[in-house]
Amino acid sequence: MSFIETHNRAFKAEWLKLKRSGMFWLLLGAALFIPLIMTIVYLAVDLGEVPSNTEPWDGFIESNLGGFSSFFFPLFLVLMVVRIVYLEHRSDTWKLLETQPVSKLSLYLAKWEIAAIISFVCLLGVLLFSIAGGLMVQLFKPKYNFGKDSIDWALTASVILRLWIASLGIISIQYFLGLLIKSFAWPMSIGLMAVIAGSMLAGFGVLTWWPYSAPAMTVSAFNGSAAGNFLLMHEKMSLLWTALFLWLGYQLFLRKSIIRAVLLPAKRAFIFAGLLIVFIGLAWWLSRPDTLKPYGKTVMAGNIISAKPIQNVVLLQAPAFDTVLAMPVKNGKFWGEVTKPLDAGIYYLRAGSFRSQVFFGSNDSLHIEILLSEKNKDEKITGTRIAENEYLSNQRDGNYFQLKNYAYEFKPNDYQRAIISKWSEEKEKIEKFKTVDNIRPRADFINAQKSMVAIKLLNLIDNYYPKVFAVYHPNEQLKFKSDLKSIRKAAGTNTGALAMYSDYRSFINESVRNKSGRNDSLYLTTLQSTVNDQKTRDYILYDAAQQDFLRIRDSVKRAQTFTNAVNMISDPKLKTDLTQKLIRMQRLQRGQKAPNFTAEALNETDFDLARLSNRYVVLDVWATWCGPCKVQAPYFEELADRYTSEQVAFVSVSIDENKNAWRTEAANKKGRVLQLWAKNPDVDFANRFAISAIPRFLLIDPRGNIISADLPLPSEPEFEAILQKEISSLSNRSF
Amino acid sequence: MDYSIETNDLNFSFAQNRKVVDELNLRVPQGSIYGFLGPNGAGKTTTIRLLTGMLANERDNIFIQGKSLQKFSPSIFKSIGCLIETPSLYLHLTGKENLRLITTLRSSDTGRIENILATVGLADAANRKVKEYSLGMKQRLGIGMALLPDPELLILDEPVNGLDPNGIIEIRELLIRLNKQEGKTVFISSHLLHEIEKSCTHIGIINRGALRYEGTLADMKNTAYASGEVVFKISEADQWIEPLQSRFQMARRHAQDEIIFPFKAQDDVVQINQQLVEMQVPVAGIHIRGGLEEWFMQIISNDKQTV
Repeated sequence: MSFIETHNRAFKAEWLKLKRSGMFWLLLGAALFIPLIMTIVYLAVDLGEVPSNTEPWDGFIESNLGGFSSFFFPLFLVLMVVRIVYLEHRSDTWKLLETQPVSKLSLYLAKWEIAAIISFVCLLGVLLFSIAGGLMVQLFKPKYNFGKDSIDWALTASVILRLWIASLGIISIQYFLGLLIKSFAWPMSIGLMAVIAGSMLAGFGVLTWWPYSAPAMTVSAFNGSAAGNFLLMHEKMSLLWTALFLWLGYQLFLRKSIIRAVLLPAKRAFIFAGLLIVFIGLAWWLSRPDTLKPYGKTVMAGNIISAKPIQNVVLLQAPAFDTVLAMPVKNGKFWGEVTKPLDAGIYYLRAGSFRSQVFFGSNDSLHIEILLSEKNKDEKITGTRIAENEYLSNQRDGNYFQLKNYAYEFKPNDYQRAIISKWSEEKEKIEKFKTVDNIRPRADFINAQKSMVAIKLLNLIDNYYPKVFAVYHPNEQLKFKSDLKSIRKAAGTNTGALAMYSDYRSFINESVRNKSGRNDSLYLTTLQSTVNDQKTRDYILYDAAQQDFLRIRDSVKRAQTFTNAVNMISDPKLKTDLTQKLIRMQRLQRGQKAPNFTAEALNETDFDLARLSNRYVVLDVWATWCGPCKVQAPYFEELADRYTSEQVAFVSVSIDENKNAWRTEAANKKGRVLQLWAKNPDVDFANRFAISAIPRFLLIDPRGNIISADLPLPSEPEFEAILQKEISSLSNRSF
Repeated sequence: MDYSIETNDLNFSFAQNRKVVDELNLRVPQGSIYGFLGPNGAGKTTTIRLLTGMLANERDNIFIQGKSLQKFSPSIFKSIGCLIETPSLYLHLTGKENLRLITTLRSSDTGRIENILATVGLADAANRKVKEYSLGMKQRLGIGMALLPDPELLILDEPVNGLDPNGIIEIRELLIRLNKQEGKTVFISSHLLHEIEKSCTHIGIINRGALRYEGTLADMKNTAYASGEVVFKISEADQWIEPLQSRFQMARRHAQDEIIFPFKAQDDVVQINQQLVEMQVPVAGIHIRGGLEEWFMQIISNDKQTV
């Protein structure tokens, strides 16, 4: 009587027992629930216009399997296994089974196999109902493109298989629990709590070995391992759990009591202890995070699906935003290789109006998928820097609120202690980070991030706190207990690697400013002596030149300080860029002809500056997404109300990319301001008017010449004073 | 082989210091109907669980049909049919489906199902869910499931539990028939003395986990009914007690009209009766007291004295 033979008999018997047990209806209900709701949502809710080359099936199937797997699937598994085991407990039919010529192992395994099969059938059911749902959507809403797209069968099959493997751990543990506790309620309750815990743990990415989280984690990494493994770490863990609990459950089944199964006699205790050690060892080994190896070349490639056609995808480098890669888009695909060495760091990706940050460097290969539709934009990055980019996109900035806004409440040593504890908290966050795929960022990224935190904290304690302290304790001297050596070491100043991070540059800038005050020439010499690294110095000067020097009111002083700064810079590209900016600035000096711009009014008539000739033009350049612009708007409008006349026009030009957004806001404005939408904001305003920050206010005379290309803000009294001074025919309509 | 069931110094305890089965040496002869008697809590069910391998036994000292239970499980069950405590039935399946399950597990012929249903009197209820069965019906189905594989050895734990007098008689006659006509060995555990008396060929008495008596029914009857008391109903007992005591020293007056004579063998009763007739004692009624129950209680209570 071979094992196979008795096993088949036991298996067949288990099938017979399912008749009228309610299992069919449970299966049907579980598989139908989520796809039904998803389909209804897709049919009822309007998702807006979708680009014609979207691939809706992937998202639809992912939503269905995702919605099902994180909570309902584990719940279903718990209920299903508890039922299967309870079927025997109910009338103690165990004794019937044990007195048949069928091996105990066959009896034990047959139930487990049935549970595993039901789990698989359930997943297939969800898939089937999802496909049916998608076809329904295609029938009623063809605009969503379900008809033109096809299902990615390879990915779908792999997800179903991985979900099934993730389910086996839960099944084995619940089976064990059901054998241990011969009731319905207790194994059900324990399973329920374990599922709820699992859902929450998976959401936070904590305790990734928890077996009840496994299905949730599988669907959160839907496309599978980015590192090329078939199974993710938690799926392998599920197999490990299965092995352990299958053994435990069988011992319990044989010996009827948990004590006799694992503790008595002494020999069993040894075996159990040995197995536990092996289990823990394997689990630890599995959970060690991976880092991805560098690629031989430095390449970037990807797909872009967008409603509006996009010609190029560019990769830019801070601080001057020079182009590292310009990749033309052909058939929705782009590709580029960088041949010169590239410092690893944050670069800026631009595709049409889409902006994002990527971590990239020499010998990295990144694949980027971009989806831009009317209501949605999405980006997926895979390749050799997965963990780094995931960290960046999920980054919740450490909470520095208390250290900044309540600094005055701290005594010096307390503040220092708070800084130190913040340092260890943030340090641990970056050191412990890993993706669902168990991948950690590489050391260069971790160190750079740690440096950034260190710099933020040093900025607070070196530059910010002393100022606060001086205000509240004017006669005291500031003394700290320790010199924060470890934090300073991590900040690693004076190397060029961090130069591309604006936080780093601001920190240095702040420190230098502290020493030099408002004296610009002292600033330049202090900078020269403090910062050894040329690249860092260059970049800081580049920032300072634009932010501080370009705005000096005295044009002679401005030109001189600016030129001094430019001369200190060694990078020729930056030099040229700044020089051009200066020229542009000079072109915008008083008396120069104002560059023209083209715009559109609310009633869709075309407008340009020429149409406003013979009038003074008070110009406001703004956008709907600009907060400070909104703050200034009431002041601007109030002045417009009082001063608009045949001689004076107040004009607001929006540089919004999204015309509808502008239209919605502008149409609701009442008052005498002329609302316009810029047709060529990049050329007309960013370039010709040299506007890099908004809001910007300009004053142009009736002959089209510039009076001022950079007025103070309307909220300041100087603004109105200048208007009164410059505009002779100004008549005040105030009451 | 001589013995259908044989155990050698079988021991079992659930907890550290309480032995539930104590050096048990069972000998169930082939082709017998063996009654396993004992009060509640004596260890009957535990013994049966050990015999069927439901409880793990450390040593290899249980032999069924001459084969070691430990070595030949589970194939040894091919020729064993069991009914242990309450019948193990799947309530959501019908009677017939429950039987079907047995044939599936044993890979045996489904033809016998109809026969068995008729034998245990469930032909009408075969297609109703067991949930709806009465206690008696469930018991019959349990017996049917034990009989279904046509086993050589039947192990039945309190098989007539819950049956009405008719049912009890039916099952008794069925078991006797199976034993006599088909040579099956039947091992029944029970606490119903008189039932055992009517159906068994061999008796084993267990108390506090140990076997207190084992032997054939004939032997038992001889021993049990060997001694006892016979009660004569005599109208003027006080008048007759003295003359009777001169003949039978142990005679004693029990009630106003009863005189009790202890006896050691059945022949004694015949003698006493003949004597009384000779003495022209007005006997209104005779009945024998104790016997099996008394003897049984004695066997059990002996325990308590020795402990």
